[in-house]
Amino acid sequence: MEEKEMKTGIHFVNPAPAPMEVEPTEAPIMGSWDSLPPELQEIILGKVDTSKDFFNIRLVHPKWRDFVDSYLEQQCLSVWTTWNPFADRFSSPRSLLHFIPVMTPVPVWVGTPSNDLRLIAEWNHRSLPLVENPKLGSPFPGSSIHITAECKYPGAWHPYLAPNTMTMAKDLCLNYGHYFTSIILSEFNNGLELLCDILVNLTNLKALTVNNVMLASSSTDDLPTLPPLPNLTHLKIFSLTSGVSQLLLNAYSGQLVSLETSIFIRRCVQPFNNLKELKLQANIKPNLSFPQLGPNPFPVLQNFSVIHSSQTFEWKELIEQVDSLPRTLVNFHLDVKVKKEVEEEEMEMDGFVKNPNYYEQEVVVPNNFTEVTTLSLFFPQNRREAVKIGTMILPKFPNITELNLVRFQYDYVESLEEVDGIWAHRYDTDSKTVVRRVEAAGQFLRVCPKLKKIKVHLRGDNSGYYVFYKDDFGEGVE
Amino acid sequence: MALVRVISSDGAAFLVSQRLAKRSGKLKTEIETFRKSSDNSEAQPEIRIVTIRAEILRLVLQWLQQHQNDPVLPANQNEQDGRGDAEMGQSQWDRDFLAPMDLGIVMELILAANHLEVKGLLDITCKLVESKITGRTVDEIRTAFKLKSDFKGNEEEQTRLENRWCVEN
Repeated sequence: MEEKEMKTGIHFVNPAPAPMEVEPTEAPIMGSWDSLPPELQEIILGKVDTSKDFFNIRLVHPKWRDFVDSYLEQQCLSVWTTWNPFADRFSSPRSLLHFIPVMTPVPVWVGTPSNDLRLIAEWNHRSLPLVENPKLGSPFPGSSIHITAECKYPGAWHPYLAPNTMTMAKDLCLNYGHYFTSIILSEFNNGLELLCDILVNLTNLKALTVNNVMLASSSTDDLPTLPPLPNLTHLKIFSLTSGVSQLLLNAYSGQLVSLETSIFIRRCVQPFNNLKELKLQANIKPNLSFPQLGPNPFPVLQNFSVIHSSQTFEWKELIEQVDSLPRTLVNFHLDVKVKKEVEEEEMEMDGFVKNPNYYEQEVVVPNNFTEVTTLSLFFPQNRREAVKIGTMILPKFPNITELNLVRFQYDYVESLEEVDGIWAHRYDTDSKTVVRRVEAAGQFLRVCPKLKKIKVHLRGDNSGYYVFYKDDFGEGVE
Repeated sequence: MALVRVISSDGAAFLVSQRLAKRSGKLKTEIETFRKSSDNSEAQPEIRIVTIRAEILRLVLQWLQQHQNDPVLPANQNEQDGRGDAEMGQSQWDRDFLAPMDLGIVMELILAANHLEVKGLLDITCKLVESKITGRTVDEIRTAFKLKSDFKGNEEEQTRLENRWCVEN
């Protein structure tokens, strides 16, 4: 069939033969804002990123306001719902935390020197006259709030806990608690009672962070019962007295979808039947072990992250712990230290293995985590560790497509001091060579044939990394 | 050269090369479906787009033609890989293309680009609409989007108070 020369022109073939009559309907007018589906509205408004503009949009039209409010709620919730295995607990994206207003008590003097002069606290937000008429609706567009009980008392060495702070926090939640779907509570020293009083009003809560709540005494005999929070699915708890942590976990373990904590979970009344994401991190406590709560405490766990910057595992111990994890894992992030093993042979120089059978004793039978696609491990400190990763860990994860190698920055100095000449300059200009050597030693691409990229994280967070694609590793390195 | 007839909601037909049409994710799928169901491999596919009128369809095709040699952007761009829309900066041609358009037409184009899966066009049109919001006053936005204030009673005042509470922080 011979076509005429037709470039790629657009040819308007025929005038409209019989256009369908468009009858007027209730449907939004074509080309109006309302005609855009919500996901497109979200794309557009998502490009508007300054808070000023965002709040401006709320004033344009009730529909726009409602849209922004629900968008803001999702944004706030994403602090809890976004799986971020790397980030430090305090490094939630600023742009998100920006939308969560912080309530802080501010000390004010009342009375006169001659008559009952004393310090009391007021909320930092003066624009809370709405408290006087709570029926007007939520004063919090984002449905999220951060309440801290710590008084910022200028010049004071210790934080000041004004006597009325407790009542203020209680009243705030009594009036508005049901509007919040996410909340951060921090610095309630001696505040377990208060915690209960606050939680009881948060009937619609989906996500909760509790930070720095200490028990007055170590007695765990007369602990109060926490109120039911039927919608709570995301929990982050840090720096709590262990009694408080245990109380929270016992109360909500069965309903949680994600949990982030700095303690290690020893025992729980109920298993975590719905838990999909678990992130454990600690930097002070030694002896962190993976949670061991009976045969299958996490039947549906998909994402698991362990970050412990100061504890050192033995290889054997580490492998045993890994083997005890559920087979449902999809993303596994292991950022711990292993006991360093230095071989004399390697100390000598660049450490090509002279005897290829040298490491064979280390080979273990694979214990397959077939669902795992993303695996993160510590950056090997030397060739021997790279080999161990390639023989003892990677065979358990045959289907990974992405391997992250994580390195905290302070290890940089250490590595300069301790390792042999070849590895010492790994952070210098030619990081590619170093990663190639690691790969060559561990045979990562051979062990995991689906592996597409290796990312080297420099600071243990998501902000700085190099990516190496499969093609970057040519045949026969050096 | 293989051609395809693309027909708008109001019945106007455009004859374009398949190579061009395939730069739209939606048309690509449709052409492939047609190929599979048709016995005659020489048959010319005919695709009805019931949601897009001729004026808008013509604009989409015009844009596609101008950009026919650009690399195709995957629909789900991984932002971590840093090749988002920032890199595909707006060309002068795009600016001239969009300049005379009424905001209503731009929004129809957004819908069309979304429906036809044309990522590049979707990006620049969304960006244009966003520019009518960022840094504008409430009245300017209402005028641009032809909106009336539909707040009831003291709702607007209430919203203003809520904003004050949030912005002050």
